[in-house]
Amino acid sequence: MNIHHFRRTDGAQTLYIDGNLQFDSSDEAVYHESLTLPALCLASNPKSVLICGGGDGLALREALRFPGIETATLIDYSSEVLDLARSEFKELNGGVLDDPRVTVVVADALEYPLPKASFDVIVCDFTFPTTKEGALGFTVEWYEKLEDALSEGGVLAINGVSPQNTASAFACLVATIRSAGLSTLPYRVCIPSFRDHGYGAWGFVLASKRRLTIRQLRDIGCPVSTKQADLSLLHRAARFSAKARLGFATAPVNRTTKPVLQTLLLNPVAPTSPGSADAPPDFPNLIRQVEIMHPYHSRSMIETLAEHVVGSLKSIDLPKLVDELSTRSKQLPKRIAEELASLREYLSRTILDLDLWGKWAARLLATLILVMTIANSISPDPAFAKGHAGLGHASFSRGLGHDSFGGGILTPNAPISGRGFTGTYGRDPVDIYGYQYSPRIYFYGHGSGVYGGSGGAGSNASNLYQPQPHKPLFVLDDDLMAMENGDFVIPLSETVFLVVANGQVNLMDSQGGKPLMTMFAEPKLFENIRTEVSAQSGDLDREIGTRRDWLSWVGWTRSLFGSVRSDTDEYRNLQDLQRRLAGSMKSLGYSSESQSIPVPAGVAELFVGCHVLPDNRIALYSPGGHAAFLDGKTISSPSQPDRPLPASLKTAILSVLKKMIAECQKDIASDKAETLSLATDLAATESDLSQYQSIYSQNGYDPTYEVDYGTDSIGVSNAIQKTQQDLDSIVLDQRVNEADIQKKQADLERFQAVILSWSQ
Amino acid sequence: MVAACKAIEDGDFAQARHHLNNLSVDGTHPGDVEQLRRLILQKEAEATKLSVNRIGLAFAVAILGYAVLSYKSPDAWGQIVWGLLAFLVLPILAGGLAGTSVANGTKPAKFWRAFGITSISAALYTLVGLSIARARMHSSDKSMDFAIYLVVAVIYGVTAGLIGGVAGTSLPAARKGS
Repeated sequence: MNIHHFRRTDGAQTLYIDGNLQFDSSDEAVYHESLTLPALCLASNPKSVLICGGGDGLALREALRFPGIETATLIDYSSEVLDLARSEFKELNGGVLDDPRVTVVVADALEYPLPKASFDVIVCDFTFPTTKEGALGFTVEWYEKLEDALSEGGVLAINGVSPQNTASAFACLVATIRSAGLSTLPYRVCIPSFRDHGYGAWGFVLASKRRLTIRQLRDIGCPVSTKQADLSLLHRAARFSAKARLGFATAPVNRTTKPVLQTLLLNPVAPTSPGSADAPPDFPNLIRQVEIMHPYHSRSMIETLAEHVVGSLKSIDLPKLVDELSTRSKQLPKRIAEELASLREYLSRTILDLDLWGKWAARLLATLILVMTIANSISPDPAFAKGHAGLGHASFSRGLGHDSFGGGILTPNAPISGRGFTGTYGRDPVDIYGYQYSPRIYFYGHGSGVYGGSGGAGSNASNLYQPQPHKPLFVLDDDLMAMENGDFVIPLSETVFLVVANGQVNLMDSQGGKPLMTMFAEPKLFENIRTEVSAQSGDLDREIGTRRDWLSWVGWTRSLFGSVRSDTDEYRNLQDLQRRLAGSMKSLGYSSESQSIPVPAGVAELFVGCHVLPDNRIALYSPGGHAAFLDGKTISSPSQPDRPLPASLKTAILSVLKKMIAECQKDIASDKAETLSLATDLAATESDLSQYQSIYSQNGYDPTYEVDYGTDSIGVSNAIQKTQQDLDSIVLDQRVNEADIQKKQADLERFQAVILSWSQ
Repeated sequence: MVAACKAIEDGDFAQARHHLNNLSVDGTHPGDVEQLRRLILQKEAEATKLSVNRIGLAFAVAILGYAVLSYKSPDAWGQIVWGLLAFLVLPILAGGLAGTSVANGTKPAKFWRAFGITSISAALYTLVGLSIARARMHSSDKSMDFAIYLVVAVIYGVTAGLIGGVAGTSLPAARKGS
């Protein structure tokens, strides 16, 4: 390994390994923040980090900045780079190698034994592979090893290659990671020093056992500030063209036994077809089929060498050579001639047999095509697995009964991909995609005050009331859970939740499991829970059906194949969930209320049956629509004069308000980042439109003149039309975003005013 | 001459040729010998054509039968009905037809012809059915899936092939007009 460290006159440092730039201190933060922080943000509660490679300590610096990191392990086989990290780079990495949380291992990470499920975040910061050995750190076997070492909610961050300059190699990398059974989220970042070196936009890949989506990247909310990278825009960098996405799905997998990455890196442009067999030999075209096999070789070197070979061949007088060979053949011994004749006979027979096989193969293929065609004509969807639909994660928004209520059921086309239904079902909550959630216990009882008594505002009817622990079984939505006992729970804050069952809605305090109040049973809440459960039950039906079909074929092989055993367990658990959801629907009951409570202008809804009034009072609605008004000190209703506000109810309302304030602030920050991003998009799109219009006029208004539109080439007239549509869409997004910000800002101010008013 | 004609009628063309050779050396009129030779050639060609047609028919019955069967999953048919159709009715039909295509063949020849056609059809049906069922589950473990496909397709194919083979040996060979 050739390591070169330079310090420029401006004080900036650069590190080159084997001639490739590793970092330039002037913009290294773009690279290391973009590589490390997204994985830390997307991992669930990361505590332990493993960094493979990255001996310079810069990725480690980013990892240790993240709150909650307890241990970090750095494995790098270059003691030379590690020495530099402890000396020259100390001012850059902040001396993190000496941090007490850090364990530095001088070893080859590929051979170092990694304990199972022991790291929440793994960062692969290997150098750009210049040899086949170097590419071993990008193989499916290595990623399978990392998958084993990754905890269930963990995320893997991989330094990739350039999707701009070496698109096929980047696609190969993504396909390889996917082949190891990990969900991937590739993205690229423009690093100025890399660009100056001609490396192009640089690619990274996030991977995890659970599903990763661009949406998660959009809502990343990094708790640490960044120096150079803009993580709020990272989701845009994760959008790839359809052609690139197709490449991710179809690219070859880089295996130890069949390494392809190195070849793809050295030959970024696929060789063209050598032409038909009947055509005369085209030597230049044939030469282009020769792959570059070493990083120090280039296309021009190979072509020059080949030209020499071609020149030498051309100097041979082929007709004269053939004549000479013919003359010599007459002098061959008789036996050789006989053996050749025998060989010819044998070849004739073999070729005949091969011909026969060819005919049979053609018949088999024709039969297969016939079967598929008939199967598709009889039953189009199952034959090609089309028409799949699922449910999204639209938030129930605390069970609100109006505008934001039941926020929108999506159909994102996602099947069960998590392992929740095969292993921990019944122990940990699980959602429709099979993803597991952290278990949480809710304490409440079924005595008076929850299902039995009316429990007016502030009443604390605890006669016969026995709170018991209840576990969530199924996560229908971010804010709605079906419990093991058939109830539905809507968490409002860390300490307060709503229990919806038997036609009632109860506000509960998780500290002690006491019922705070029986709330107005908003009819729309029940209707929307039913809609959500019905929709997800439909999904469950479909998933159960697919597993039943599969097991009807192969169920008897469960003793032979572990995966069939898993499928059987999953099938049984899905059936169990379906039964339980049906039971939950029965025990949900129906609201006895005939109509919803209106939310007048100027009133903000905190949760179902709880309104924040313009005078900073809170209105809590009990069954029958009777309101009780809370002003922070007293609670009053038309039928009952002012009474002291119970401390538990006050604490509960304040905890929900605080949570809502935090959520509003987060949403507003996200929306504002989106505003900036949309403004950038708008400017770029307007510039594109202006350029297209200019090209259109410069080419005599020829609508067919081809221009680049994204990754496609289309007619300029079409490009103008599409760009105008893009502009309209961005403007619409801006309006929607602005309205959203205004509404959330108003809510935020209202909630803050209540807290201020109540604390006086 | 009579023995040669009977051999032709039985579809035993080798025996007919044997008699033809004897006739050509024992002084029978060359015109009669030539007439017999032409008759053998003609009948042999007809028998070959009939055999090929029967093979095609057997394949068509098997493929169409399994295509209809693939309309629903085994579970949707009901395991017993599906088992009867996939491993009894269709193999007997296809295997029986395939067996009749072997004129004057030995039982093993009939068996293997019927076995081949039935088992290939059943294995193809199984592969297609399995891959469709698995695709709907969006399975990610492709290598394990392939192993399952292979084992199940071989077992189902061999089972159907055995039934078809037995059916093929139990029916008489096809004759023109039969």
